[in-house]
Amino acid sequence: MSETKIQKLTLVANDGNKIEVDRQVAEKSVLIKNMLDDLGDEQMSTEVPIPNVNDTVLKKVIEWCEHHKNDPAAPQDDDSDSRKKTTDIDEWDQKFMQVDQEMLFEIILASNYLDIKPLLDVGCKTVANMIKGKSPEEIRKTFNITNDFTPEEEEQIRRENEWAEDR
Amino acid sequence: MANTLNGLPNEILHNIFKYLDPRDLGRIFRVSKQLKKFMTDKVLFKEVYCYLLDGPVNAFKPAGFDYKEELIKFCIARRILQSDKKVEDKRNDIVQISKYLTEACYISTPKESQTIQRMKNWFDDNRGYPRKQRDNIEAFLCQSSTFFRARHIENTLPNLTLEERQASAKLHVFYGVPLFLPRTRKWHTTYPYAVSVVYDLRNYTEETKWGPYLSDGQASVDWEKMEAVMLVLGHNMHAFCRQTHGMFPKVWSVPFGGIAPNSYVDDGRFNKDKKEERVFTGWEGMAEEVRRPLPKGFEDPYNITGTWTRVVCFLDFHDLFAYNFTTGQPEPDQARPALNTTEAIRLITMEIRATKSEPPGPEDGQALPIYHFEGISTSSMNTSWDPNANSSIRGTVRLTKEGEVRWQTISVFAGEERWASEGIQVGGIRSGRGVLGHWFDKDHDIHGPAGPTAFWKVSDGFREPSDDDADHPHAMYHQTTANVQYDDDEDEEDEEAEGGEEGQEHVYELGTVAESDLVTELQLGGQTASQLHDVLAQIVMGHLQQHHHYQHHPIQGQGDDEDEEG
Repeated sequence: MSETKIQKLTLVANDGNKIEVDRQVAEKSVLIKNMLDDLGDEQMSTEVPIPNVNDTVLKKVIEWCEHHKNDPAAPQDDDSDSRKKTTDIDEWDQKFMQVDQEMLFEIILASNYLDIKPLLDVGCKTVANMIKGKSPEEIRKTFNITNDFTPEEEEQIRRENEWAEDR
Repeated sequence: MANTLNGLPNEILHNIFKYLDPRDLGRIFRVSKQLKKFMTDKVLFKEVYCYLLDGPVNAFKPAGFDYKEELIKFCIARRILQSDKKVEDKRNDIVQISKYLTEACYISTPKESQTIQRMKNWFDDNRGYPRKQRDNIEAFLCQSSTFFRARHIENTLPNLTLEERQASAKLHVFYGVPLFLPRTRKWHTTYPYAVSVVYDLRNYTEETKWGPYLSDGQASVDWEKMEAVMLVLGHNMHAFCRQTHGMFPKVWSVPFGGIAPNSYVDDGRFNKDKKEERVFTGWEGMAEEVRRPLPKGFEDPYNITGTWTRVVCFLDFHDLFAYNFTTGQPEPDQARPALNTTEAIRLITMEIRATKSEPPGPEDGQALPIYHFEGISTSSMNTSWDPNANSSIRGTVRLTKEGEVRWQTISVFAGEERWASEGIQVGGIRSGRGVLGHWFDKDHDIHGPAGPTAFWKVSDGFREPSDDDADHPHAMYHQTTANVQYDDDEDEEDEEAEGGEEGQEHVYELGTVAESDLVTELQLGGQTASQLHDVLAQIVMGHLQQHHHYQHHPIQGQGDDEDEEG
């Protein structure tokens, strides 16, 4: 049994490119891991199509999984209190996330689709850090968002959220 | 399509926003119509709250707890506490700040509380932000009458209203580290002024039940009296700690230490294996009955049963009499003059157990029964000649209408009742901090004697004769919120050198405090704490509602921002 266990998988990005990875690395994705568990090794083709993710993003995601392959598995329960109480991101991850916004959001979406929670968290924290300390107008500029409020609406919502202002 | 923030699915946006500070959250809503929709995302507010402050695991969190409302309160309090305003401006918010912070104590988790850690940082003058933080101590902790009087030399601040003074004293008592010297060096030490409150026998009346209470006959807490008790006992324990070179360990040194309900945790010192029936060999004069385990099914909701350390201070009786009855008498509304004196101190070990319960009376808080206890009281000092050293003791614990935990004790010597005491458990039910209060003649003799007393739990069990460390009073209370960064001896010494005045340190420097994490589950008479959570949550909710009009007066910023939904 154990000798027949698949050790390598080939992930196929949506543009047809194939990337070979260690099973351990691919299993950072809960989606892939569950698929392997459900199908069993015998019925499993070693080629796994990832239809929602393109080659560049997939490579990036695999890079992250390679680096973190020996991390302990995150606890399954989503008890908000056992969550790590920090928005700190470790240094390697910070560097890893130094990409343009488009890529950042692609990574977030890919990690969401592939169910790689730690990567999703790092991505979300990175975006949260980009928001921190900015005024609404600065946030719009940063993320290229159009202000679709009328001046009256804007004033009203400003008042409703006055509690959040520093003074 | 998904290359912008706007293009992300809501589920992911939610995941991003939960990492934001509420300050940033309030701005995100103002960015666009799409993002404004998250203003009604209740789960988001809860997650942001739990990221910053203690999460919902706390049994004391009242039902219907509104996370958004609480986040708003937090932001407003934080804005005040972190502002650079001057003391005289800052202290205008004292009622709001005291109310917010003391309520936050009641709902903080007993272990590793993030909420308490934040509060410590706001009042930490050793780290980081010297000027600002110091101002918080002065603006919010040093505004009672006692401080007002101690500050009189160069006082430029008018005295505050009774409500404001009470709010400051309450916060100081919750803070729990007695502040002797006000923050600027121009002031007198508060000790003689606290003495003039504690040993003024006019404060011991039937209306106040001879306790540290207001005159409303309902034992509503007079926090200024509580503060005076804390200052007087703190002064004496500090001196005693020095005299004994640390044999008496430091107490009351951790800001907001042992302040949450349920924060007392047994460290297992006297009952290393609680489950085993211990063989009691007894030591002379010990009432064996006290040491028997509670019968199965008998609750001890106040966690009475066990060993307590008690400190009692008193003035020489002639001094007390002269101070109260011979020298020039002040007007009825005037305080007695400051009295710089030397008191006697007694350290006592109380071994008590809950014996029976009865329903609360009409004057009491209704959420829990009255519990009676009995036990023995032994001097921890080498005073075998002292006829007052050993006695039996009995008393009751009940809730007040305000929801505070009220302790009454009576000491019995050779079959005769002699001393009584009245006090309030600071931080609420099962807190690690323990009880502050008054002791007095059980017949309420208006000529005294009377004085301050405090006691705090040191073990759920009883010492064995072989526990040789048991000869020392156990000053420890639960220290889960302790943090190494507060052991800042260097800064302490600097301050000392600068001021060079006795009693100015607000941290006792001797001894060590053990971190106790051995027991996490409170065991009481065959019942776990979790089974009592409903009733405890009820008590706290009752407390918040009655005492602070908790739900009806949410803290508002400038008063012009109405409820968001409206």
